[in-house]
Amino acid sequence: MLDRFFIRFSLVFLGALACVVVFADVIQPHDPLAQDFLNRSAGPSAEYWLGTDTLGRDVLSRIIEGARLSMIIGIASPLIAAVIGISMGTTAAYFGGWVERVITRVTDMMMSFDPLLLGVLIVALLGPGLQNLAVAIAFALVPSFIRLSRGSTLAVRQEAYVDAAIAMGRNTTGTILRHVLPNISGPLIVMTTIWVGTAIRLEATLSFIGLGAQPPMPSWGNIVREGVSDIFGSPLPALFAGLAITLTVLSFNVLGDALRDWLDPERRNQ
Amino acid sequence: MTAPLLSVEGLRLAFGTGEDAIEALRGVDISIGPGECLGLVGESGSGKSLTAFTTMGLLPTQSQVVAGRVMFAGQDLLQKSERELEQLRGNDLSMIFQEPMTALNPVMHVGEQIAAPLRRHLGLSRKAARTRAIEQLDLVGIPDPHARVDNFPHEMSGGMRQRTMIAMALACDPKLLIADEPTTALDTTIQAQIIELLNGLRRELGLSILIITHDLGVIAEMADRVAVMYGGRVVEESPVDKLFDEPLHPYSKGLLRSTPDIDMPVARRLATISGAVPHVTELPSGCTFHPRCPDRLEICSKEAPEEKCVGAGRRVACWARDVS
Repeated sequence: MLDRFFIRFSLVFLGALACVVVFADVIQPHDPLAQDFLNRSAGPSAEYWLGTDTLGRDVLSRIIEGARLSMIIGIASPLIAAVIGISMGTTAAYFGGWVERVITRVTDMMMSFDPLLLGVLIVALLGPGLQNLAVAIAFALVPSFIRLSRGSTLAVRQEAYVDAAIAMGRNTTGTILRHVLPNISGPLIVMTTIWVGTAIRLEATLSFIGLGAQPPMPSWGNIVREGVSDIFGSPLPALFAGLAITLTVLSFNVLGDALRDWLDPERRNQ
Repeated sequence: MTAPLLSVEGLRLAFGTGEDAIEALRGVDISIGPGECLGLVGESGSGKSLTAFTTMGLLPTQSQVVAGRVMFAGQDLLQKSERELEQLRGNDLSMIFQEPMTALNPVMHVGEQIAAPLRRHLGLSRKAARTRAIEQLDLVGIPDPHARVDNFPHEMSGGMRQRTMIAMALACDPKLLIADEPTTALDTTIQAQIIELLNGLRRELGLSILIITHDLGVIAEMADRVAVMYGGRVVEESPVDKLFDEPLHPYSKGLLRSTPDIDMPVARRLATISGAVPHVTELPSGCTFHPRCPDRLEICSKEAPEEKCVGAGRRVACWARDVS
C-alpha cells in the first residue's frame, strides 16, 4: 500500500517537474535574475510566493530555472555514462582477453573513488561550467555501468541462444546489439533511473561547493549555498531548494525500485 | 564413395598453452558424404559436442586447434577468417542445439529469429523474410504458422521450440546440419516426432546431417554410419546396422549392452561399463579406455592403438582386435 502511494507520488511529482521544466518560461512569475531592491529577503507574499533572496530575486522563479539545469544534467550525464559504460562493459565481457582485464582493472580503480570525488577531480581539471559539469558527472558514473553491463553480459554470453545466433551467421555487432543487449536491458534501465537521482544530487553538490553552475545562473545547489550563507536572515530559499532536491532524488529512487520490481518476472507474478 | 561434403581430419584441440595444455580432442577423423547422416556417439565428455562446435568455428574460449583440418566443400574451415565463417554459418552449414528452452532468444519473436539468417544471407526484405519464416514454420509442422510467427519462445512448448530451431537452421537451405543432441531434452513422444521430422527433411532437401547423441535409439532411427567417440578420439566407425549386429570395439560393445531392450526380461539388470569417463586432465596412458576395458592386453596401457580398416567402411582402434 505504502509502496503504491510512494510510486504514485513519484510519478505525479516527476510529471509535474517535467511540465515545469518544459514550460519554465511561461510558468516563471518573475525573471529569475531580476532584483527587487525594495523586497530583499522577503517572506512569502502574493507577489513572491516563496519569498525573495538576499539580492531581492524571486525564489520560486529561481528554483524553476534551477530545475531546468538539474534535469538536463541529471538526465544527460547518466545517458552519456550509459552509452560509454555499456559499450565498454559489453565488449569487454564479450571478447574477454587482455581488453577485458584492462577495462576491469581500470573500473576497479575508479570504483575505489567516491563518485563525488571523481566529479570534483574532473571539474578541477576542466574548470567549472555546464558542459564540464555534465562530463564530470558522466565520468563519475561510467564505472558502475561498465561493471553492471560486464557482469550481465558474462551471464548472457553463456546462453545457448547467443551460440545459436552465431551459428546462424550473425556477426559480432549484430549478436551484441540484437541478442546480448535486449537481454541485459532490465537491470541497466533500472540503474540508469536510479543514477538520474544520483546525478541530480551530484550536480547540486558540485554547484553547492562552487564547482558547478556559476552565479548568477541559478541551480538548486547554488540556491542552497546562497541561502545557507543567509540562513538566519531568510531560511526559505535554502529550505525550498533543498526540498526540491530531496523530492526529486527520492522520486527517481522510488521509480527505479518500482521498475526493478516490475521488470523482474519472478516478482511481477506475485 | 563420392567426395565427402565434410571431413574432419586429425583434429586436435587443446585448452591452455604450453606445458599446461590439456588436449580435449586427440585426433578426430570423421567424414560425411552429401545427403548422408553420420551419428556421433559417446558418453558425456568424450568430445562429441566439442567436435561439432569446432566444425562450426565456435571454439570455446581458451582453446586452440593444435593440428588437423576441417574440410567443408573443398575449403578448410579452420583457415577461414571470422567474416568468411559468418557467410557460411546458417547458410551452407547450420546447427541445432540440445536445449530448445535456451537456444531461442527469449525477448525476440520467433519469426524474427527465423528471418534473421534469411535477411542476412539471402538479402530478403523484411516482408519477404517474414513470408519465408511462415513457410519454414509450416515446413517443420507447426500448426497455425501465421499466428505462431509472432510468438515469443516462452509461449511455445519444448517440441515446438525445437521445431522452430530446425526451421531457423534450415531457413537458408544449408548443405549440412549439425544436430547436437536435438532430442535429449525432449519427452519420448516428442523425440520420435523430431526424429521423424529430421528424417523427412533429409529426404526432401537432400541434407547431410551430423547427429550427436548418446542415445543409440536415435542413431538406429537416423544414421547411415556411426562414429563412436571416447576420450577425444573416434574409436570405432561403422555402418549403422553392422555396429548393432557386431560391435568391434569393447567400448561400443559396452554401450550397446547398456541400452535397455524391450524384449529383455524385466528381472535382468542392465549391464554397465564399470568406472567413469576419465576427466580430460587425467587421461590414462596408452588406449584411454584400457582401465575400463574387459578385454585389455599388456600393450593397452603403454601405446595407443591406431585406427585400422576392418572390412567395408569399418574402422576400429583396438589392440585386442589386432591380435584376434
